[in-house]
Amino acid sequence: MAMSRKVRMQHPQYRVAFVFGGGLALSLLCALLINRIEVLGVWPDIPTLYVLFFTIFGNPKGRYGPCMAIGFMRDLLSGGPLGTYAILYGLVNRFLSPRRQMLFRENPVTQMMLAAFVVFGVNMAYHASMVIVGAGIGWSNATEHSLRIAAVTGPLMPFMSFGMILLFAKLNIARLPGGNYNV
Amino acid sequence: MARRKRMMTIATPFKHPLVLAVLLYLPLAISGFGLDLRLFMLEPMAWASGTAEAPNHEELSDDERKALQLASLQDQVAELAWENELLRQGYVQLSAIKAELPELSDDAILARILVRGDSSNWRHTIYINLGTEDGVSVGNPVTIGHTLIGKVREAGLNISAVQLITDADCVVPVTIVPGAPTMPEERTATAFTKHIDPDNDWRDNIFTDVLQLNRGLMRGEASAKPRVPNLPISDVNLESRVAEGDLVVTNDAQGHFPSGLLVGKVSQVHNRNTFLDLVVESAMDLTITDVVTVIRHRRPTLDENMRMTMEKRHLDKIEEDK
Repeated sequence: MAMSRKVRMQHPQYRVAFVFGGGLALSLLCALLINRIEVLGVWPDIPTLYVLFFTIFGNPKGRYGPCMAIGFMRDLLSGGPLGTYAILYGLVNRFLSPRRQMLFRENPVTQMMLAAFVVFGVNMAYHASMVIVGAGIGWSNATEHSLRIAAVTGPLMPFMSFGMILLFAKLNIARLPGGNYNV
Repeated sequence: MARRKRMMTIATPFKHPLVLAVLLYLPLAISGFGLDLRLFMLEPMAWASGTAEAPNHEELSDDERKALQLASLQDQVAELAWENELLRQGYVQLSAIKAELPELSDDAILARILVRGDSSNWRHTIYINLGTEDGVSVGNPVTIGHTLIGKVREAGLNISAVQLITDADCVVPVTIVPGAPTMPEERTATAFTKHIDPDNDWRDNIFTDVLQLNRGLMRGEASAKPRVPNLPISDVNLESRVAEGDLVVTNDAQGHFPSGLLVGKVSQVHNRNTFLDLVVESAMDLTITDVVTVIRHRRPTLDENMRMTMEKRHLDKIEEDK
């Protein structure tokens, strides 16, 4: 028991690079490139997929800290109040990380569905954060907008997982007991 | 060994870091915290947009030095061509403002777009290379020519964040001008100037009773459309004479924007029995330019507003007495 706990909690590899480098790179990608592509009138929400991947596959050490850091990177390049995405991504990790073993996370179909659900939730919550300060586009419009973002983003999750797992193999990142990657 | 049961009190949930973060976030979000820090971090980009000095290559051979000089000259030519293009765009925009809104031309200054985008799916922001040192302040309208694209959300020393009219947090008071000339198919910074009829006096009549009815608030809808977004105007008076193709311009009802900046044209009119819902095809197209115009328009204070209203009423009364 003590041994398995020790293995599970071993120091993550490349965490700083994946959290700060990856978070900043994806935020820049969103700010400079992705917003030139329009699919169904919306842009895909790639940083949320990255956070979801970290949540369901990453080393649980550090709890929601890494996800909050990725959210903070995104907040830095967004016009909204600082900390909105940080808190939302922290909550995503808080709610999904303890349930990662029950999510059939290796299956591309469940990955897709989970990604669509999480992206929808994050975008609705972001709209709620705007409503708090007196902005927003109305709840029915926001629901439609969030559903479209979820529909565009969800199918990308298996590709992101596949790409990340390939990258982990190249970097010799160990797989921990329980199926988590040591990042 | 039996685990000690933790005592649950009212304060227990508040000890969770995420709950604390949410509680800390709410007042900061309402107060608009964060943009100062962001602009402070992006400030080096504004400095980097200046020119750098060429390094000294004394240790190189003649051929290598000539090759470097040639490369440097080619860079200079490319840079001058780019600068020329920016100046051309700026000239076109200032000419458009001078032709259409001469009263604003003294307050208009040109800015270069540094970052064109936002990492959020809901916010639409661009960053420009002017700040408080250039006289830019929060709330200043930003245009391409005389076409409104947004307003300054936050101003740093040499950099400012511009909230676009498509941002979900942006509201623009507008007037729909009946019978105004329709928008052309071609989308350039001067396209509208060419097509507005100088004999049409709609701008002189912008405060008349007819146009008072045709007022509304246009809201951003976070659309991802990179060109020609469609923006909604809700709750327009049912008695207003609005038709598809009418021009939509800003009004200064709230003092945020000067009157007469072009917003777009009405593309759809929906009758909701008690009011009208309109959809505006915005004239904003950020893909056609690298330069924008900041209009250093100051929102009048309450006193100034009152004085202007009193003066207007006084003049009206004098005219009536005549």
